[in-house]
Amino acid sequence: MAQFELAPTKTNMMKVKRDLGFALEGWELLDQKRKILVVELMGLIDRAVEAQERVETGLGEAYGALDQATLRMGRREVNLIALGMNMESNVMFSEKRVMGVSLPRVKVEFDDRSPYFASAESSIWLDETIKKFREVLALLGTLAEARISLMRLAREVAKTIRRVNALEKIFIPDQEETLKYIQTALEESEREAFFVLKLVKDRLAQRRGEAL
Amino acid sequence: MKFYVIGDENTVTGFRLVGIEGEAVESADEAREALTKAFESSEIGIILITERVASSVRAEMEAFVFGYSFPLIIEIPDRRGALEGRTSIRQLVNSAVGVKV
Repeated sequence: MAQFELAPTKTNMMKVKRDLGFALEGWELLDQKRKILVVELMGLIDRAVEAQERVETGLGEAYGALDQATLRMGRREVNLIALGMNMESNVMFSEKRVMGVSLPRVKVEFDDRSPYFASAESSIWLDETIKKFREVLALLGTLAEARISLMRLAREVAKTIRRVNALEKIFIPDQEETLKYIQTALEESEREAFFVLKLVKDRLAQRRGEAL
Repeated sequence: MKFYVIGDENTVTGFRLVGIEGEAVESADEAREALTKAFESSEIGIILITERVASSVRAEMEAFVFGYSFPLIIEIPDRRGALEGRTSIRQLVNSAVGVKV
């Protein structure tokens, strides 16, 4: 809403002009930020979708192998071996900042100390399962990175768009309208003053004529 | 930092085979408890949760995902495959950005 209750004075006009200039500058910056974020988002989308698909197929295979292993060795045996696994994975994080949004970078490392179990007592499917799950784990690091980055970026984009719109659709038009109102009012009072001066001049001339 | 898995027994066994700790949960209450515990641990970097378990505690999931920047949490399909009707990555982005990409 334009501020019509603002007194139409030169000081106020200057103030509104300054506010408007500031808002325009801010709008431009936010718009740039939005564009950069969207570009970043677009780049990530394909990576995230691809990672998701690969994790899903990888996991499907891993579960299949696990089923086979369970079938051949029994659930109890598999569970026992699982409890005794001597393998560690380590996840390392670093971060990348884009326009003030922190995006995680994930690196997965394995520390494995094979052999884990006697090969004579276990099915080959168990080895297959372990292999598959390991592959999935490495992919999961990528997926986590892409997916979380995507969610954070998307949130930031939504926030920025809201701000850009608030400036573009509400604040800036309001200020422009107020400015226009003040300018018109000032011009009007200027014309009025001019007219009064003319009138006074005419009267003075008339009086001088009478005196002569 | 470590992975941690929350899901059904099958999933947990699978991941345990590659040396990842986890907790098998049967109900939404157990899932909630496991999730809270996992979030409190400083050792855990990434929480893997199966889609089926995640959807049973959707509200908590949202709170954790958006409330904390750490640990990261991702949903994975379980033994029975991907959950139907879940929001895809593209849908997620579309709803946030408000434009179709």
